[in-house]
Amino acid sequence: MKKIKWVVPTFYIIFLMLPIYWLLNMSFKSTTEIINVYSLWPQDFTLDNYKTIFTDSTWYMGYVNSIMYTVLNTIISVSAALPAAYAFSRYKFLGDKHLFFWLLTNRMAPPLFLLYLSFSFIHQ
Amino acid sequence: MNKTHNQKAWFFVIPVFVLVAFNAVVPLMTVVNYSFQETFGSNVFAWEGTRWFKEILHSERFHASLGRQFIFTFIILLIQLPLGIAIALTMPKKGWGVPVCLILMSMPLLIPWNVVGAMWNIFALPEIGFLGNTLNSLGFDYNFTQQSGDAWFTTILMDVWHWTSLVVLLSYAGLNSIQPAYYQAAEIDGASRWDIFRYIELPKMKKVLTLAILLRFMDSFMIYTEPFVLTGGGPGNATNFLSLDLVKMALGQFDLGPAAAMSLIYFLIVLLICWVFYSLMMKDEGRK
Repeated sequence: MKKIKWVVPTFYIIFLMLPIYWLLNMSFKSTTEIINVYSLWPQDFTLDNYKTIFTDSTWYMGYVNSIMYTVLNTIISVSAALPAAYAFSRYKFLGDKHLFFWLLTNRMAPPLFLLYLSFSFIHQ
Repeated sequence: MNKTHNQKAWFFVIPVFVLVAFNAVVPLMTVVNYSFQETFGSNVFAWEGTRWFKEILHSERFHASLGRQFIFTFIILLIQLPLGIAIALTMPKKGWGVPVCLILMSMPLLIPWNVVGAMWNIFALPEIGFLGNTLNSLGFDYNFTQQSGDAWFTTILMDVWHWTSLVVLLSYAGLNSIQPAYYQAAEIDGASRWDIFRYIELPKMKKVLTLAILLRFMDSFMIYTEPFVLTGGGPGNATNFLSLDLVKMALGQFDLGPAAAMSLIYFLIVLLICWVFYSLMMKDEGRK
């Protein structure tokens, strides 16, 4: 019984790792090899792709922008959400359940909602 | 845990309340505004009343994409919940296997959504991708860019790959919070493995599973980025889900009024289903 139990998580992890391995595999191939040859590991191992990413500013500025966005986002959302999470977990107050569900509804809005916000700014 | 009544807790909630009110109510009212009007660009509007809503509700295109969306979400929930619970039950409870499983399993959750779409696109390509090549060499006629069945298969497999771990992690946390005394009592009573699952583990996991179902429902019902990158809604309209269709209508055709009406109907559907489900699951909590 104990040995059988390992089978499910093991197969699941193998399934999870396959696409990630394929991504890693491709990152060490040249573009012509990716398009023309099907191979389970790089036939012509190269680090050129990594060199491009770290030396070409059109590539690495993407990381810089992402990091700046994430830091700002984290500061704003955590400083607003942390006290609220504390209040929700420790106290009962008027309208707490409704408020909680309303906060949840923001995850239900289709992506277009925010797009419209930018439209309305453009129009002004 | 017993919560105490304290109305001053509102002071803690005010920052998030103000922030979300601005972020949620302003776009919502903008969408409502557009949904009743016709735009001719450059800020010229004309009142149309409920015309867009009537058009959307009677449009076959909307019915088709809504149907596809429901089928997709239903299949996703049907696969991911039992699979996630099964994996959580068979995962190691202690030892070195725990961190290994947790780290490896949470990896798909850390990958950006468009990267997930792009990597599955290449992974599934019939000639040069591992999945496509393997399936074809096994004798299946697999090509997700040409055949709609294959496109569905790939999209569902991708979503299972991406999100089952969320159900696993939530269920695992729920299982770990069960005290050993329950299992000891069950052993004394001679409960079978199934009885333990049905009468101890499942009721104890109710709260986390409610959350898992809600999150998985919302995210799979509004899935956009991954199928947009993977199939782009194709071949034809085969995997043209509701959000893909919505964006095509708004940006591709610039029909802002109908698209606004459609996103409001879309939002109301998600809201209604979540509210009914949430109230049903939380009904017993209030009594205790």
